[in-house]
Amino acid sequence: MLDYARSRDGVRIISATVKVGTLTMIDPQTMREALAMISKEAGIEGVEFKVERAETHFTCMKCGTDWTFNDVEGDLKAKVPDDLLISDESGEKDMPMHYFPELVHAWMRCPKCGSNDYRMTEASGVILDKVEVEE
Amino acid sequence: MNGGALDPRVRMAKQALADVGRVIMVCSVKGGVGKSTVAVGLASGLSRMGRKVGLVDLDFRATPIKRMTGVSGNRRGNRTGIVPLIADGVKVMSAATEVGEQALPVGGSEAESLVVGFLSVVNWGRLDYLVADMPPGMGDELMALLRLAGSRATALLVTTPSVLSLDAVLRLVSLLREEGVGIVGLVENMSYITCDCGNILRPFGEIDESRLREAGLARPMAKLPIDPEVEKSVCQGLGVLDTPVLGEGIRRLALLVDGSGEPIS
Repeated sequence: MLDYARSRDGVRIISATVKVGTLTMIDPQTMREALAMISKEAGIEGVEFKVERAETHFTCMKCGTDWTFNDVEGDLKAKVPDDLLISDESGEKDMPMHYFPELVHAWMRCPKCGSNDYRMTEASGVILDKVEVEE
Repeated sequence: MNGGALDPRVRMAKQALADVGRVIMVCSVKGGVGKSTVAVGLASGLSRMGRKVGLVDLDFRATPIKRMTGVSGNRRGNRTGIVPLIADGVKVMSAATEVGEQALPVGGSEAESLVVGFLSVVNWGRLDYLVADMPPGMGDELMALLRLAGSRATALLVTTPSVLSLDAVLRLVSLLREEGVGIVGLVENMSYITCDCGNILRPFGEIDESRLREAGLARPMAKLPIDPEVEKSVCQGLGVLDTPVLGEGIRRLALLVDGSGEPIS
């Protein structure tokens, strides 16, 4: 997005929509602040950043099955022992993979074949979904 | 999980590292040469000298640091990340504190992303040293850390006297030089063992120091022995630094790394 804006004189970026995977704990407000800071440093100010949640997808490299984090989140909650949950300031407990998404490999398996050989394929992190420009 | 330039954690990791005086990557190419023993001992040694020290375990597959430091306790988090556990005054982050005994087969971009996570979503605070226990080799974790740490990254190399281990470490030296990484020095581990009768045995021979000179390296900063007490210490959850023989060698290494010790004679 920044490269595009730099390469075209007279083009102004009005808004950008960024999707954040459901597995991450990235706070939308923190994300907006970070993006505003990055764009300011790049000399592009005044962009409206919209942050939306997107479903995190996985693909099994062994049997080809696709699934989403939501499909299995309930099962995962039952698998992670209490002593590995992380307490937040309000005393609520959360799974470590919400802080570090890759830790999902410790407990999640392919729902069809049971393999741990899978990859996060969609919305694993942060995706630039849409950019609105003014010529 | 690779958001690239958009991933706010990359920026957060760089900010966290800007608050670190020096990042010391303890690395080798071959496994089993004692990187973790040196990393844990060095972190404890620097901490006992009054320095603010963090220890990050980037060896996600083996994750030895939890057992070696004995860290335990409830983990807490907030909007900006999790609070690291503390052992011997050192802030410790290891995948083993997060996943227990589970295997963690991460590689490629996921391993890189986990490096970013361990540096950005952990409240390290201001540190004099961040010691990174690296996995064997020159893989994704090393390159990811170099990208984030920039000129703060330095490398402490660990090798046994074995020519195979030294061959591999010298390849790593070439890579680190190309990437502009400062080399703190070389540690010769498993250098010798002292028999009950007092004889010194060198099961792996001796390092050919002319090869070090050719590679522009100084003599080893420390020559650490094979110390059977270390295994007992690890099993009992005691600090490496408190083992009588190896502990003394690593304390001297910490002084050298900090710039306040004398080189080995």
